Amino acid sequence: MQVKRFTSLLPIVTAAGIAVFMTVAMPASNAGAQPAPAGSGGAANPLPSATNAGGAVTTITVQGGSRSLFKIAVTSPLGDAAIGSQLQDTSSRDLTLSSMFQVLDPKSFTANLAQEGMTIEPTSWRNVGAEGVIKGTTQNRGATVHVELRLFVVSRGANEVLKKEYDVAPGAIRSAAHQFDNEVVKWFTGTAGSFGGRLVFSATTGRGQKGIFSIESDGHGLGKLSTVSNVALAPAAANGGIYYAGGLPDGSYELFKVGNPTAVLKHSGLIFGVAFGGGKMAVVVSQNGASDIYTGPPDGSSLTKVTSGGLNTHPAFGPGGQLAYVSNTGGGAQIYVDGKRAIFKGAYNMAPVWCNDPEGVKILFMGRDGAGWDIFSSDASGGGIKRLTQDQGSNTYPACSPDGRMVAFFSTRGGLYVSNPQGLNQQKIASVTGESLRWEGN
Amino acid sequence: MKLPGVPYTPRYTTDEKVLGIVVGIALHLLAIGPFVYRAIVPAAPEDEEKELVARPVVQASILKLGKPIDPKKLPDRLVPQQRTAPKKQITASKDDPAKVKPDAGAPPENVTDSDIQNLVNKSDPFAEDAGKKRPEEGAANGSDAGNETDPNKAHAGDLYALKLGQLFGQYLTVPSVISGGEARRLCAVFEINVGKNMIIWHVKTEPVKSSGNPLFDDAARSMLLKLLDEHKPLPEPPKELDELFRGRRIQVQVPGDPQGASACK
Repeated sequence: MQVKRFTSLLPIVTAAGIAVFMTVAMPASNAGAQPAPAGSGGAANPLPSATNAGGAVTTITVQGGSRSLFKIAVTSPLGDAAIGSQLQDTSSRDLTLSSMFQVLDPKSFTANLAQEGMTIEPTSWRNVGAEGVIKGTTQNRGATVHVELRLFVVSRGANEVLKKEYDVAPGAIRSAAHQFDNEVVKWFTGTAGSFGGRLVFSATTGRGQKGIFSIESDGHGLGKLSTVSNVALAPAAANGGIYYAGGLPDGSYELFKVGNPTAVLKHSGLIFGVAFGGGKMAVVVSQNGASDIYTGPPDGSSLTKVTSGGLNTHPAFGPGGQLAYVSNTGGGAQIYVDGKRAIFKGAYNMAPVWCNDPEGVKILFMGRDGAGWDIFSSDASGGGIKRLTQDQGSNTYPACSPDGRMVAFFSTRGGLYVSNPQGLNQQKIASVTGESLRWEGN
Repeated sequence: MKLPGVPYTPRYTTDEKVLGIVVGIALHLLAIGPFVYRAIVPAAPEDEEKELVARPVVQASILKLGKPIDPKKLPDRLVPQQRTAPKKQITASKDDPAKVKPDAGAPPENVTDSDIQNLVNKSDPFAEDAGKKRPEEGAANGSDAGNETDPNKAHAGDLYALKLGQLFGQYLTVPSVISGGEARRLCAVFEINVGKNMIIWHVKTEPVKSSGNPLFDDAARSMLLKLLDEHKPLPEPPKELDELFRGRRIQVQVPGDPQGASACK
């Protein structure tokens, strides 16, 4: 009976066996049947390589593609909640302003941070779209706070790719975050970021009065610096100090350093501006109706006039020691580099600064366009001019971060803005306007 | 129209009819009058003696793309346009797109896909309103280096490889922590297996040739894994290329430069 039942099932069993053999042994020969999709790192099924007459493997080249901000989750470090919140806020703002990262909303985090500890569960973070995670711990150690911060890259697994520790004063928590954020940028790009730096500028403080101000590059800590008089112009940062041209009651203008009531440089003419770079300094001296630029060692000795005639102002040294400035010797105000006119577009361009952009050294300047001003960039030789702002109010006095990845400028939109060197991701960091903006370290 | 039982009253009186005829004749005379006058009275002889005036012929050319830019004008700002709509997809399916598919039902629990996330993924970083529309700059006479647009003149294989490359490129997203300059120097090569039905069924996760930048390799790998997960057939190859693509292992070169593949050569 059982034999008979088996005999009746024999054709079905045979057919099933053939089907299994076809599926396992000859996957490629069956046009309709596909092996289950697999993305494992194991050896691929040994299918024959597509070859042509030359024996080459079939190759296709991907065309196009898009770019997206790196999505990063910044968590509040474990430990003191207030310190953790300060670190989280500072890092989130830095990374947002950098134009490289999209900081995810902490409300979207699904990972159990306490359970994870100082590792990550990659799946939890991948599910919320995070490509990177910043975590940390803080610990009060008497007069200092010990801060440990770690960077995780979700595709790299559960362990951190970067770990840094800092011991800082309770009032300097933000500096620890800035330092770590600079390291994060370095891990991704090979060169550190410029977070935590200062911007200096002059601004009107009253009728006929100007003062020198500084502000951190994320918009915190706006403050007026102490100057010798109520007329302080054209600040420049160098050697750990801020220099400026100070107007004195006798009508003279001399070079001062913030915190030092004595002039560091005097001249028979009026000193209206200064720049440092490439181991040199440049000063603008106005005399006999002309304004010329003198260069020499940074101590102000042996200054040599490098321009002749006309009005020459706004000196700025490039990374290679090149000197850019504004001159009207060719008619309207234009940008010159090392004595030669560099910008030939636009009727009135001024306030050049150099930008050590990783994509290539650039000159940033403001150009008059109609009734207002806009920010432009060019390559070091003056070619390849690109516009960073347009139809967004009047935008003036660009400054570039030391790492060349951020540009700051004033705008009549109501304050101080930063963007990337292409003018994208423009974000207001403070409601303050002024002139002669300089980024410390550049 | 004469109605039965209603006494007929002419619409116009005799005087009105006469006036209409007179006005009609007057209007016709007004129209043809100048021609009749010109035929009867010959043109003034001094007109015939007037010399022909030589006028310069204005040479005009058709502007193909816009007006040439003033070399001294400061350039306009180039910004990415706001784009949140899904990118144009190449239809690779043989199915009738108009055919209504059954409702997939409610999404499973803990689903990670969301409309908002998809929208974010498909939007451009820093995309913003480009402000008022400006005239496009371009060459007045077009460009000598124009592209051949007749598909019959291009090689079928090149077109198919380009089509596949463009399809793959729609899934490639390079993180902005890799600068444009760095990306231009990168090229990763991965290997995939394509089934007889032109569906990718395997992606070798280790690159055949790494770009040297782990994040870029990740981006290239993610592109291929997305295609793998979609489980959709690739475009059908031309008949003469069928054996090179169908059911084969294929190497995929992923250049970091969207404009070219110089780093892969």
